[in-house]
Amino acid sequence: MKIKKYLSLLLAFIYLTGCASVHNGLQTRIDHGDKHLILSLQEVKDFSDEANVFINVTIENTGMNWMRIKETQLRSPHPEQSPYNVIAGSDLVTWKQSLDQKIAIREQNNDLADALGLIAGIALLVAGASSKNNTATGVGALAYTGALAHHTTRQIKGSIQEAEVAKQVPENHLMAEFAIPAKGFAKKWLLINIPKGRGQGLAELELETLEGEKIIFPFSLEDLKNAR
Amino acid sequence: MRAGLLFFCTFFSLNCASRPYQTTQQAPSFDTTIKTSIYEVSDLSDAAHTFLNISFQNTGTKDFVFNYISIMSPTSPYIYVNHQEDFKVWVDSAFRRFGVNLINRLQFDTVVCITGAVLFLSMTPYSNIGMGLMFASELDALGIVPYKLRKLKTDLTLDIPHSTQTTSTVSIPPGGTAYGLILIHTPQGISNEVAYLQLSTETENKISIPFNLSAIKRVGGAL
Repeated sequence: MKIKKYLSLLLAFIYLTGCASVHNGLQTRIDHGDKHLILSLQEVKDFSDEANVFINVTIENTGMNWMRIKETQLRSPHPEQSPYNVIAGSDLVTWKQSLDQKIAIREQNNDLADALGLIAGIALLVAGASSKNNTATGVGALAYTGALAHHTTRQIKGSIQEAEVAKQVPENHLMAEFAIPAKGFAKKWLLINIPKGRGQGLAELELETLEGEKIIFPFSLEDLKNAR
Repeated sequence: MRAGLLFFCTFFSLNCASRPYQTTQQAPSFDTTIKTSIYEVSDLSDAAHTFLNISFQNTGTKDFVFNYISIMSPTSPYIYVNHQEDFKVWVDSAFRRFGVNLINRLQFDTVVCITGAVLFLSMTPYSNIGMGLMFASELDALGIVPYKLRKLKTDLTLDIPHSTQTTSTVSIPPGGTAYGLILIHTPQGISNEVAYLQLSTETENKISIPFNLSAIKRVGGAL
C-alpha cells in the first residue's frame, strides 16, 4: 500500500499552500470616529523584484456606512531622504508589460517541467512494473506524485492569488478615488521603487475621506517586506 | 445504502430555484395586472446590504411600461443604493468575498477527499470512514458547489437597469417577465416593517408594491 505514502505527500503539498483570506501581510485595525477599518499591506513577491515592490492594499470597512476616499498618499516622514519612489503614469504601463512577459515565461517553463515530470514518472512506473523493478517503480511513482503535487499547488496558489490580489488595472490603483461599501472591502495596488541601499525606512499611508477626515497608517518598509 | 440516503438527503435539503415572495396586484394607472416576485440573493448579501432579485410578470392584456424603480419605506432608514458606480463597487467586493469562500471550500474538499483516500487504503477499521469522507467531499465539490453556482447565475439575471435615475424605458408585453436586481443599503439593520417597491413613469403613473423586507430575507444559503 505504498500509494498511501504518495497520497500523503500530495496531501502535505495541498496543506502547505494555505487558505485564501481577505487580509495578508501587515495589518492594523483603525477606529476613527464612526469609521471602522481593517487595513492591510502585503508585498506580492510574484509581482515584485529587487528594485520594484508591488503592494497589495486591502481596506475593509467594518462599519455600517459607506466610505469614500478622495485622496491617498504614501509619504515618508522625512521627504528629503525618502527610501522609495512611487511609480506612476506611463511607467506603470511599461512595468505591467514587462511583468506579463515574465509571468508568461515562468508559466510556460513550469507547465513544461510538470509535463516532463508526469511523463517521466509514468514511463518509469510502467517500465518498473513490467520488469518487476521496485526501485524504478518507486522512483516513477514519486516523480509522478511530485509533478502532480507541484501542478495542483500551482493551480491552487493561482486561484488564491486571483482572489486575494487586486487586478492591475488603472481603476484599482491606490491613488485613484474609490469607495468602500459598508461591511465590504476594496483591493488596491501600488508599485514602489526602492533604489539599492534604501530598503529600510518608514512610510505613512494616508487616506483622506470625502468629508476631509485623514486616516494615517505608519509602517516600516522592512516590516512590509518581512510580513507574510 | 447509507451513501445513497446521504446523497438524497443532501439534494432535498438544497433550495429549489423558486420565487418565494410573490404578489399579484392590479395596476389601474397602467391598465394592467402585475405579478411581482422578490427574493434575496443571500450568497452575496451582507450585514449592511440586502441584495434583491425582483421580477415583474405582466399578467394583463396591455403593455406594462415604466421608467423608474425605487424602494420606499415610510419609517425605516432603508437607502436604495442607486448609483451605478456604487453598485459595481459593491458587486466587486461581494464577489471577491464569495471567491475567497469558494476557493477555501473547494480546497477543504480536496484535502478531505485525499485524507479519505489515505484512510480507505489503510485497510484498517477506519477504511469505511475514509470512504465516507471521499464520498461526502466529492458530493460537495462536484454536486453542491456547482449547483449553488448555477443557481447564483440564475439569480443574477438582469433586464432592468439598476438605477432609479434611469431614463431608459422598461416595457413588458402581456405575458412577459422582466428581471432586475436591487441593492439596498440598510445601515441600521432590517426591521420588521413594510417597504414599498415603487414603479413609475415619466408621466407620474405609479404602482406601489408592499413587501416585508425581513420576511424575504432567507436564512442561510451562504456558500
